[in-house]
Amino acid sequence: MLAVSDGGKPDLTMSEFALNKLEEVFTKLKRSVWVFHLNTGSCNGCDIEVLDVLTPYFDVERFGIKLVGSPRHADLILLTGPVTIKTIGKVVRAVKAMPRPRLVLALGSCGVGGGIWFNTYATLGGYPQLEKILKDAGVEVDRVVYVPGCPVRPEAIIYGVAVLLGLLQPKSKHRRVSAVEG
Amino acid sequence: MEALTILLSLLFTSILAFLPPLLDGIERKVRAKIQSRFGPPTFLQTWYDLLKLGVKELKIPLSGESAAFLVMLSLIITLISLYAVVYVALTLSTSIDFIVLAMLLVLVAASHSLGLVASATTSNPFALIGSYRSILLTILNELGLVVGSVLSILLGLRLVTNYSILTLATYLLSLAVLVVATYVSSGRLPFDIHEAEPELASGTIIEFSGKILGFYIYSHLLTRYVLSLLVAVAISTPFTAVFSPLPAVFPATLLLSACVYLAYGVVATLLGRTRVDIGVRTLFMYYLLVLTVLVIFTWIGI
Repeated sequence: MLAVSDGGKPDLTMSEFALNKLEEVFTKLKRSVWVFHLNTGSCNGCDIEVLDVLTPYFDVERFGIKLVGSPRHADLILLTGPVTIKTIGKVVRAVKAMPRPRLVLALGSCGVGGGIWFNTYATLGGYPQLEKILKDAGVEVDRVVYVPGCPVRPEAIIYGVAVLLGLLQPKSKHRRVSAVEG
Repeated sequence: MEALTILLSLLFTSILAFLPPLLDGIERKVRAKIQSRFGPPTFLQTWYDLLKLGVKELKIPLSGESAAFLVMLSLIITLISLYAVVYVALTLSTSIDFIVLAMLLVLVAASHSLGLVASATTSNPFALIGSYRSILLTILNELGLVVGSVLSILLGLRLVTNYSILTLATYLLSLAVLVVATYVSSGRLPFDIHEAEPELASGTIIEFSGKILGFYIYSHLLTRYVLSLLVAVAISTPFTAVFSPLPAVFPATLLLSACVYLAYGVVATLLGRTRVDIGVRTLFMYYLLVLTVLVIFTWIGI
């Protein structure tokens, strides 16, 4: 239950949290979700849409969603951008700093699979590639939902959160394919 | 009689301890209405937030192991301060127990300080900067809190026996000092600089998570309610003395405290965030002006 970490260095004790309490927390999360916005090298298109979701027009507070300033407080990370090589260390630290259960909403074409930067020298290629690094670092992510779009629509972000919490069913299923180079 | 008062104070304290998150939920709804939003789905949203934090994983950074103990200690002290202010409100009809009032002010200050020490132990630079700013504000505001609360309650009682325009003016002035001091102490805009979220990534509370964060937020809301109840007591003091021992005065004070809490929330919504140093500077100028006037009034024979 108790994990001691300093952010950058490895945890001294690994959490056994998810094994027995995950369902209980998910029930509570349906009424209250605190989100942390994590830009991993986005063009800012999706970030503007994320801000749009928080404005009075869409007003996500009506679903119990609140934006927080620290990953320690967050239940859900809104990840935008194709994950540039420069940001990898910081992104891993931010995800690791979240208390479990950790939820990730990969937003936009870049977050979902890198977009047009799926295999450049300077980017990792979106959340699927980051997930492998997180697993290697021993950082468990409990649920992930992909929300495509360039930029992603505000309504789609809200729908994605609802799918993540199990309130709604996903509108489509995806099949990941590898691009043929050359 | 004394034992009955203590028992009643304990009873009301245990009931009122559940109130602040509910008031915060109402405040969030009111704030949303002012901003043309729907706001949280229910008044109980803050309770849902706290209950969720209670089941989340607890992550404590290295060298911050004592934070959990200090936050819990801060919460216990805040609960005792709630008991103290309820006791003051119940016994106000006959006289004022200044020892209890002094203890209340010390407890509120201790609760603030312990919260700051807890965040400082996490060694996060953002938490340290936030703590420094908060300490500066607390030291400045403590004077207003002490002068405002003691003078307003004392003059409120004196108004009944020795009414004069000058006494009334001084009472209203000291009440104004108390209102400003409690508003600042409750950490609302623009005096939430220790946790100024957009600027400091949550400032003092940046490293808190799970239950610790939940207890910190609960303690913070409880402190806000204690300060609102203190203002309500100061406002109802002259009426308490007049209508003593009318049992309707205490419920009216409780209702007034909820109104004060929500009024502070409305003011915080209407005020914008200012540059971090402006809040402290403005407060210093305000205290300098008002306390000078109070000293002059005292000089000429209040």
